[in-house]
Amino acid sequence: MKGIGIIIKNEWLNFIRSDRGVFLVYGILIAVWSIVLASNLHRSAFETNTLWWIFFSVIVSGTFSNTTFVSERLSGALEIVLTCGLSRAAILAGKVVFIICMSVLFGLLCYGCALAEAAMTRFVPTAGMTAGDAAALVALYLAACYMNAACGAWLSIRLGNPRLSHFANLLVLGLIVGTHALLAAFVLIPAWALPAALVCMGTLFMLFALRDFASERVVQPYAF
Amino acid sequence: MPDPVITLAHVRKSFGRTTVFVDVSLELCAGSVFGLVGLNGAGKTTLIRILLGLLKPDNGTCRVLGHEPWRHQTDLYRMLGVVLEHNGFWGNLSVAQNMRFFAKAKGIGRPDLEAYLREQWATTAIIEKKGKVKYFSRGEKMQCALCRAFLGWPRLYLLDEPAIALDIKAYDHFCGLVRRAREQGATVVISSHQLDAIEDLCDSVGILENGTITFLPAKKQGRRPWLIRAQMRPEYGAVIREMTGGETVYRDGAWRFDIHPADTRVIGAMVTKLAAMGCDIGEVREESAGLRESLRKYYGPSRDNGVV
Repeated sequence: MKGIGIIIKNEWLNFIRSDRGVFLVYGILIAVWSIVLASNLHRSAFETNTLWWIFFSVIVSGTFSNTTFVSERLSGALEIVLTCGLSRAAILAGKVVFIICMSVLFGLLCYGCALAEAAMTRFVPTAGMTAGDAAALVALYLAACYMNAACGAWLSIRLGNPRLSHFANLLVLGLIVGTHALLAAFVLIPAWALPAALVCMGTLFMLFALRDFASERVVQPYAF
Repeated sequence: MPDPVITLAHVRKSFGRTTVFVDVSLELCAGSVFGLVGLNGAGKTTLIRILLGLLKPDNGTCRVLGHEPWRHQTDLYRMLGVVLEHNGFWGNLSVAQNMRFFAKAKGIGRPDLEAYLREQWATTAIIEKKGKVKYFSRGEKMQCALCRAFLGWPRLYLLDEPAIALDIKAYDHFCGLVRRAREQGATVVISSHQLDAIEDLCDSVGILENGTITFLPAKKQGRRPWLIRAQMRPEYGAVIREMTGGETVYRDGAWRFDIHPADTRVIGAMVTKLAAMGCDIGEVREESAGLRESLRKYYGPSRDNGVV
């Protein structure tokens, strides 16, 4: 889809030209979460880190969904973007890809900080974590980011008050992970099942978002 | 007859139980400037959103430049210049960065963009500003929005309140852009409460009320109304008639007459002559309320207190 790159580039430029206060907040977020991760690294329990990564993804991608979808829609800026000559699918896809990329970037930064913190204190490198575990963790994080971005895009249009999309997104993710945990208590579920479920849900939300982006709802006041 | 640029036929639009349009029909040809006026909540912005394909009419026909806007074809959007209520810029980016985005989206190359900015906007300082757009004043943001709308000289302009917050220099620049667009054969729709702008620029004016559009008579070309506030003495009236070559009436404490814009130098001579005759002149000004008066007549006095 022509135009995705243009959207991603502008969202990126808009991010890096943010006020210093924004970077300070993100810096604190990364510092706090990396400390939590570092404190778990020595235990290296795959299950502990799984939950940490999933809920970190919803915080990061939810924050970016808020600026790229919710704020633009509420301020009316989205109307101009929709009529600028790019297809609606390209605009939606560009924004979703940007959110995923930023979430991955923040995840890497956070993991890097956690490793550095652990190295300075009591680092036991990757104890108990196999390469398969690590790959599953990366897949899970990517899948969760995709699901969050797609869900955020859809909720920003669908919700009566889009400002609550962050919480609604958290609720949706919690439901999926909770269901997975409940099922895992009774039956053996392979490691790929949760990422696959998140990707399936993300694709479903993308389809919903595409439909709503092509509808009147995209420009209607949120009380509509 | 050339194909109409905009065709609206019996368009109806409602939101839930609230009906905004009952039966709106409109046809505009290339090279025309149409002014859309109406009270708050009459549906002007909704009409522009329908023309942009952001809203779908409940029934009726809507065609813009041969396309159905609701199909959201990018080809159509590339032929449109749009100013809406919100400026739609990425707030952290500079004007130049925003313009580069919109140029790319419209398929306009960098050299063409730079040529456009150099030729059309070099006289204003707005393009040179390096700061973030979100810190611009309202008027500066509006200038940026106009810069974006006229980028690439599209075939149709849909401008919702385009003259809000513009200073006199920026307003004159905007008028120049609209006139140039019209000379190039473009069609311009201006929705505004700023009646001076509508009067200055528009060939035809429509009032949107009760879900339909009523067209006002075309404005008088040539002579403009003026008034001189002074005493009621027949000899003063005679001087005004003699110097303007037309009729004058005395109403509400002022002499009122029409004069061609090219003959406004006569006003100075007239004032000098009246003062020499002992006339105590309180005020001399152009009455720019032609459209305002038409609208007041159209709407009638307010139901609440008789004051419009």
